[in-house]
Amino acid sequence: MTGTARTRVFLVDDHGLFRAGVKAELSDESSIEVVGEAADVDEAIAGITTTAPDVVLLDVHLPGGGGQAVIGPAVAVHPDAQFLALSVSDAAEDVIAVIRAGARGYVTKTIDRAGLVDAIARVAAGDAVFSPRLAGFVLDAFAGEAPVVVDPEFDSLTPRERDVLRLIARGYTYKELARRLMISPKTVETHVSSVLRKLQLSSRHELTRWAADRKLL
Amino acid sequence: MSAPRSAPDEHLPVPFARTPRRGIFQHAPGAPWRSREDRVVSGVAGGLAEWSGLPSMLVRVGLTFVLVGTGVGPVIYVIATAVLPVSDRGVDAADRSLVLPPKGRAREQAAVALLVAIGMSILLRAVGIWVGGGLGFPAALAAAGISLAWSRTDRERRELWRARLVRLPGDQARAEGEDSSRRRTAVVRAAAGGVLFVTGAGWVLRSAPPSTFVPVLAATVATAGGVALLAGPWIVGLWRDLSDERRARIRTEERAEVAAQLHDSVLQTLALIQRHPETTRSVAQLARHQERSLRSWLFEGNADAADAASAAPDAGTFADRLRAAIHDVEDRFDLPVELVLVGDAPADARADALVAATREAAANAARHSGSAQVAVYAEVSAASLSVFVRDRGKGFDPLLVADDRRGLRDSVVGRIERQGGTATIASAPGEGTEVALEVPR
Repeated sequence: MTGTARTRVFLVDDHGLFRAGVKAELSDESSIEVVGEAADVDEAIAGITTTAPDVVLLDVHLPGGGGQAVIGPAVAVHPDAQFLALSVSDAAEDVIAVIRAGARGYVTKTIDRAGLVDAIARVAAGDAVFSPRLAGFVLDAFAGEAPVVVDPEFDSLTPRERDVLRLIARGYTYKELARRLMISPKTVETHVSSVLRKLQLSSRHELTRWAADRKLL
Repeated sequence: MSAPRSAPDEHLPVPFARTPRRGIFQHAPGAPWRSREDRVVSGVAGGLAEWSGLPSMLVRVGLTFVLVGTGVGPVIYVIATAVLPVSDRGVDAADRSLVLPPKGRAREQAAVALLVAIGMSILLRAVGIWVGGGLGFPAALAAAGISLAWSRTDRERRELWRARLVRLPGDQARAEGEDSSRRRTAVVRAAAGGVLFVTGAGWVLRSAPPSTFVPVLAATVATAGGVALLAGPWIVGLWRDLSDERRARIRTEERAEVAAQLHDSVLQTLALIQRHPETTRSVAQLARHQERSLRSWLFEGNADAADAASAAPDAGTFADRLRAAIHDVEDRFDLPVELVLVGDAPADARADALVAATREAAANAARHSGSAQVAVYAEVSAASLSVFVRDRGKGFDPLLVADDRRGLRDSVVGRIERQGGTATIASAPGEGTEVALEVPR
């Protein structure tokens, strides 16, 4: 990503109405260009292969295997694509599946335009995007001590990472929480990215068990 | 949840139109039944438990004791299976009438069952289980039980048994589209089983007074082997059929529940919205209410949870009550409140005070801040419950307008401090407000 190029966005969602809405919203945005869209997994992989987008907006619930089924094959042909998961559903096990498959963030479909544009820019830059719900989810999943620490690097959060997640869950923007914690926004990014990596790589069995038990963010 | 509601069924697309249901229980109020849901073998114990109101484990233990303790127990169980009706919950009359066994076949199978029962009785007597009484009485009892079982079993089950018995046992492989070697094996097995069974049974009859030990033992082994060969695949198949049937039944019930839920809630709401599209506020409220109820049904498995919690605020855990309070604020002020919950705790006086204070703080934000959204974050830790209520509204200077905010001071701060907790309000003009509440557990 260079600073001047427009971010090329690919939409994957089985609801045409939702795609149309997002396209209309993003069309006013000079920094973003919607290069394609798809309604199911196969279409999405084919479309991403031909258009090579920077960011894929990926619906969590997708016919043909869910959002996570897109990520692996799409990354294989186009390793530079970044994925931002969107959903209305909030079913924890679905969201965690997409994140663990490699999505760089998760936002709910109720997000406003500015929030979505910001999230796209962030994901395009390789940063992680945590909505309050996702932050709450991660805090819940990583609550308590890991009983069997297989890999201590990935199986627990640092106190600072917990602080950052709590503030995100409380509705703080990255900028606000950087000021609040008296750290730079870049450091916030670092913490969030590290939490994302832990979420993807953790072998904590609670993560799955929790998701199955709670079924709710 | 699936209580009938007055609805314009005729306007609905077919998948959502509900099939007519029977009454919950069609039988006389006094008669017990077999349970559909709560069953290990055929639901006799579960049905008795539902019928009597006793815990099903208790009934099960008692029943097992009686069945094992008395020699004729299994026969009694089979008879109970046959004569007790299955409770009708969740099954449509239409579904039942789909499987009608041909009458002649049923009689034929009853004869087969009778023969098997007589053989079993002879065998049991030879082994010495049937002490006392002539051969005729137990044989007749078992035969009567099994025929009764056959004649009185409910249709769907009888159809399954029939289908299985008809291809007993050599046909089974063919019916399942297996290759010819499997079929040959099955035929050979059936023939060998038959020969063994006949030989064994004849042997037992001839050496009825067990003067010698070896012939009886040999006869028993032969008979048992024959029965195993003959009945083994049948029993396995029957068992598989029963679990297939159980799976199908669960699927039917799930589909009925989804259809009922969509119908009762979503379609009703859509109909309401179509009727009053002009009042945006009530449309938004309806949509939000519907979303919440559907969400809780989908992800918490209970559509009425949110409603029940708002109707009865005394129910549920801290999280349930907080959720209900937040929903109430959303409805009252027509403002989205994003609630993020981490952990849960049982509701006690402190938790209730925290919920009440949170409700006030959120209402306050909705009333005064001008913010388009309020965020509420609640976290349960080992030592405390904490809640943060944040808005991005106009904010205020806590030092300057403290007197204005008596509501905040009394109903939020006072409430929390009386519980030994802390409440802090952070705000500045133009920067929104955050109320932080914490009570010890």
